[in-house]
Amino acid sequence: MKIMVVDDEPIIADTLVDILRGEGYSALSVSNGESAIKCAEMFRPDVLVTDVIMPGLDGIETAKAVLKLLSRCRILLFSGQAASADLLTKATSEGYHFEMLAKPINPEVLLNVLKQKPESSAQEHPIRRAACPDGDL
Amino acid sequence: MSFCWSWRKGGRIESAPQPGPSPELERLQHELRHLKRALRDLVALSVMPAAWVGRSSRDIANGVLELLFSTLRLEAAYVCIDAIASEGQCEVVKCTEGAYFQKWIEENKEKLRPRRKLEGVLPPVLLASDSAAHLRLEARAIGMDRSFGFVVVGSCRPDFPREEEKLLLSVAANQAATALQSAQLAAEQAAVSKELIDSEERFRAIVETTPECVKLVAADGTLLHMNSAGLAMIGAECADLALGKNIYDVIAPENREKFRDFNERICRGERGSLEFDIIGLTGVRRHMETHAAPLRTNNGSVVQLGVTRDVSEKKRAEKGLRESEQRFRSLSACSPVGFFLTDISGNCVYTNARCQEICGFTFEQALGQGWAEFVHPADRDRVLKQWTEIAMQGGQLAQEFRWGTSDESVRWAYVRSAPQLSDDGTLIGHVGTVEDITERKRSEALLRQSEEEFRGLANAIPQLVWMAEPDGWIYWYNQGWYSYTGTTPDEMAGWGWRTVHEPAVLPTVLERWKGCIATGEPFEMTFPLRGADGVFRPFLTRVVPIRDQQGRITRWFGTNTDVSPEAEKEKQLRISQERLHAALAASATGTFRWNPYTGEFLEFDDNLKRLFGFDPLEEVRVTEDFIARVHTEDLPELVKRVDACRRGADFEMEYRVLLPHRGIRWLYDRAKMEWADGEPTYLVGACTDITTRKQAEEVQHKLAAIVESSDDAIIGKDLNGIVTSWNRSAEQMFGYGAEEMIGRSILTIIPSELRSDEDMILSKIRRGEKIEHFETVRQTKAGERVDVSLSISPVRDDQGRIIGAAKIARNMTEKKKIERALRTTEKLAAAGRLAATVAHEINNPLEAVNNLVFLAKRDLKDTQQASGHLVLAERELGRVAHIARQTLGFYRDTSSPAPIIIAKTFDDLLYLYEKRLEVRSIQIIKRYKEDIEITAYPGEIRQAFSNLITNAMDAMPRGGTLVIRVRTDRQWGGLKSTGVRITIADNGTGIQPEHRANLFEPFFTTKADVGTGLGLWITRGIVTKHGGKIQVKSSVDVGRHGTTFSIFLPFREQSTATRPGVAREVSSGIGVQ
Repeated sequence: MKIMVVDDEPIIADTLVDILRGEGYSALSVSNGESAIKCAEMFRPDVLVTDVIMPGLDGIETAKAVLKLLSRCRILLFSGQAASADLLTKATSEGYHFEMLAKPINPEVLLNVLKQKPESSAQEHPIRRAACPDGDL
Repeated sequence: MSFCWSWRKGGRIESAPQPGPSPELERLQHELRHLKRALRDLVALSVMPAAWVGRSSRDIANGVLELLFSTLRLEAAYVCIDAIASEGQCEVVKCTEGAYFQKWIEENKEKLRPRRKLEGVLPPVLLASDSAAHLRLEARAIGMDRSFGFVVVGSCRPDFPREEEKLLLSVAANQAATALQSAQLAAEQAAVSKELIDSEERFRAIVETTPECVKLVAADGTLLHMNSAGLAMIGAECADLALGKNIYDVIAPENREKFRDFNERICRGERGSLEFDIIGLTGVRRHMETHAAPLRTNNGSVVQLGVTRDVSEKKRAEKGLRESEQRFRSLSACSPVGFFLTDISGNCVYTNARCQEICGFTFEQALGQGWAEFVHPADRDRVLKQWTEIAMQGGQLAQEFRWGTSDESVRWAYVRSAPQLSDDGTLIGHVGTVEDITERKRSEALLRQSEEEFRGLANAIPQLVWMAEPDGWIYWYNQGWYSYTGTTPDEMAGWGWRTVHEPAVLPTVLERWKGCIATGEPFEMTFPLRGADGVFRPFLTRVVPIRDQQGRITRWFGTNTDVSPEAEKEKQLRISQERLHAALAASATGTFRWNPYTGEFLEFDDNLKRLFGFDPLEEVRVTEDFIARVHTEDLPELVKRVDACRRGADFEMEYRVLLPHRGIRWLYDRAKMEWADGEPTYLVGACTDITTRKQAEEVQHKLAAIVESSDDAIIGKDLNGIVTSWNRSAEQMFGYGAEEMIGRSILTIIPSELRSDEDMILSKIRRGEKIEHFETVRQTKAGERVDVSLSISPVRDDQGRIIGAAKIARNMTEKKKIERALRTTEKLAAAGRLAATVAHEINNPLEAVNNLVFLAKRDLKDTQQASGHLVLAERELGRVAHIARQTLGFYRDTSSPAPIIIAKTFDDLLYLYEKRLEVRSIQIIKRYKEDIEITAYPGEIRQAFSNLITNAMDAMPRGGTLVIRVRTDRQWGGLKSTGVRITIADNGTGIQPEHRANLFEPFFTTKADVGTGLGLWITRGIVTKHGGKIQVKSSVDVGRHGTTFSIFLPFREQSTATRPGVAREVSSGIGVQ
């Protein structure tokens, strides 16, 4: 399985890639959305793990662009900022359903999530809840 | 040409017949020589005046003389120069051959002088009688029309004067004239300049002696000149101290700018004047007034010529005038007498405050004729008419009249006015005073009224009463007189009374009466008076003089009392009746005698009847009559005591009596059993009315109850601040008991820095003022500060004197607490905002560290110890991440409750803190059942325990023992649900009692340097969330100090407790399983 990790903080992207490789995945780190889209064409990842709030193209826009290229690619967003929720709500209203992980995330948890089937994950609550308009964030 | 010709005609030809070279040539040579010489002489002459410039006329005359002698071959010459400028006439004469020429001149100069034109050849003059030689004379005027004088030259040569000599003479005379003219001009100029100098000297003298300051100031303020008066004004001892300096320095600082502007304006060519203050060089302030004009100096610049006067005195005088005017205003404002001024035609121009107060108008309303509107309508026309007359004709006003338009506000005033005259005696207005005589008028009215009352009284009494003038003329009798004597007022007026006297006694009466009138002594005599029935009855007559304040008799007051036996008897009867009534009324004690065995009253006196509300005529015979009036609530006790009396006891009781007309009367009843032959016979007792006392007691009790039950501290103190009463709330609020405080100074509860407040409070109280809602701080016995709001009122005694103060202190600490809580909420909100902004900054590094630890763990798998550490580090990091997510508000703990073994949680924590516990030499005693397990949020429970352990460590900086107990228990109190009780006890410093109440509040910390003040707040939040309860016990006492936290957690969560967690999970919007 090929996994692409996008984060504007290289230390996070690189360590994650290191962990994923250690677990036998084929992983690649990029530091921004634009590079991610370019590399996606060549690398053709099965899973895209991306930060949400980044300079330039944000994680959700990146994910959307990657999905246009690779419609079967699984998207995992992870973020440490409350502002992500707004972006996710917007994406949901446009018909996209992304999985969301909160930073900081234990690598074990991430590995577990990756092992799970995407379909079941997509049915998880967080996404539905993100669309819920009556949240008092 | 004529010159040459005339010279050719001269005799040289014959005197110089010479052979040799061509005589033509020779003659030409000769001519040439002459010409050369003449030219040289001419040149010499023409330069001479330059040498004469500035010389005196004598020098010029001598010069001309010498010149003529040297150029012409002369035997004699005379120069006369008329007086020019200041020099007098001057003559010089020179003669080669003796003094004859001089003599001739002396004789002939008067003949020479009057000649209008002295030109050309004079008749030859014989040199001497013995000589045949004639002196040929030639004269020339010097200057036009001989205006400077003349010159006469003579030579014995027959060819004299030759043409060139004439020419030379003319030129010389002309040159002399030129020189003299310039000399005259110079002299005139000198005279003019001397005149100028003189005038300047005079001017300077004037400037120097003038008492005003005269100065020249350049446009930049440089003082160019200043006279000595000016120097004195600015305090400069010599001119050098001031001249060349900047004048602005001596101007008062606040006037400098003004003066600078003024100076610059003058130097631009304006004229002007200015008032300003100077401080001089010595700092002496003077007020100056300057008038200035621009002055163009020699070098073309314009400076200020200023003449400055010291007007300090004038100012002072003006100020004095203003002050005296102000004094007049102040005086008139506070004068107890109203005061007004009018102009010459009687229009009001000024009224003082008192006048306005009396008359009821304002200053503006009174102006002109406006005051008239405020005169009482009944008096207005009269006053206006009179005032108009006075205003028109002069004269004085002295009138009593009323002010005010309504009867309620009416005031009587005595108004006086006098014309105001100027120094020269002309009328300039009127000045007047207004006195409030309302009181006097009122007392006069009262006097009249009392006089009327007196007459009414005098008419009502049975005696005959009359009043007489000081001389004995009786002007008034009472009605009794007329009725008794059957006379009329007309008959009786004055001395008419004599007709009702016994004729035999009348002379004695008259004699004695007149004697009394003369001496002013009282009169007393008994004599018969004839009644209307014609019968004489003896009357005791007493007459006393009524005197005024000066002791003068104003009238006589007389009474005639019928002293016949019948009258006397009647009187005695009346007196005894009155006495009886008075005695009855005076005595409030009722008495009785009662037989307790038969129930019969042997006596029940009128007073007692009155006390019981019986009619004096009613008979009270038996007990039932009496019992009916006793208040039912008091009856059982009364019956009991009466029974006791029957057994021989005395009776004493306070009880209530129901009066027939709804009233209640308190009676104090005391009775004693009379004994006869060793047997009790009947009860003798007395009753008094104690209703008033009882009512007073009741009021007092009510008041005391109010004071005691009040939440506010109510404190009484005297005027020295000594506490006289101290209610229960005061005891609670300040911690001092009433017995401690009464008699002590109120300063006991005032913090030392606020003690001066008490002086302010007491002085206000002494003035009878109240203090309301004075917010301040007081100190309790324990030294704590209490925020209080004080209301203090003066306490007066029966006579209205202030004897102390009643002080109500309301505890404001609660209010302050609410304010503090509000502030805390604000702090929390701020912290929340901060948290949102730092969330990202903390979460990202945590993510990185998480990953790094994961990698390190993977790579160090083989090294068991390191990997063990990393496992622990990872777990702790997870906790940090968890807490960060919780605290920073982005992520809530959404993991579902899991089973936790409490003992294991503690062991983990103690392992984590192992090093710190070791360093602090804290001994751990674990007393727990290993297997107790509850369902809870593990991270939060860990956090809660961790907070308590760290607090315990902080409480034991020098070591100690930490005991951790875990056991199953039931919840104390209410629900009795089962659960786990965790006790964490230390023997550390303990918590100060005053801090215990705030312990669980956010941001409360005693560890200002290390604590955030959130630990216990969070802990309580976690425990409450799990449906548990946390309690604390602490002591700071020596020997048993320490703190114990006790947490109860139920085994099964209360559904209510979990709900908020779920709600938050939903609302957080982002979550992960």
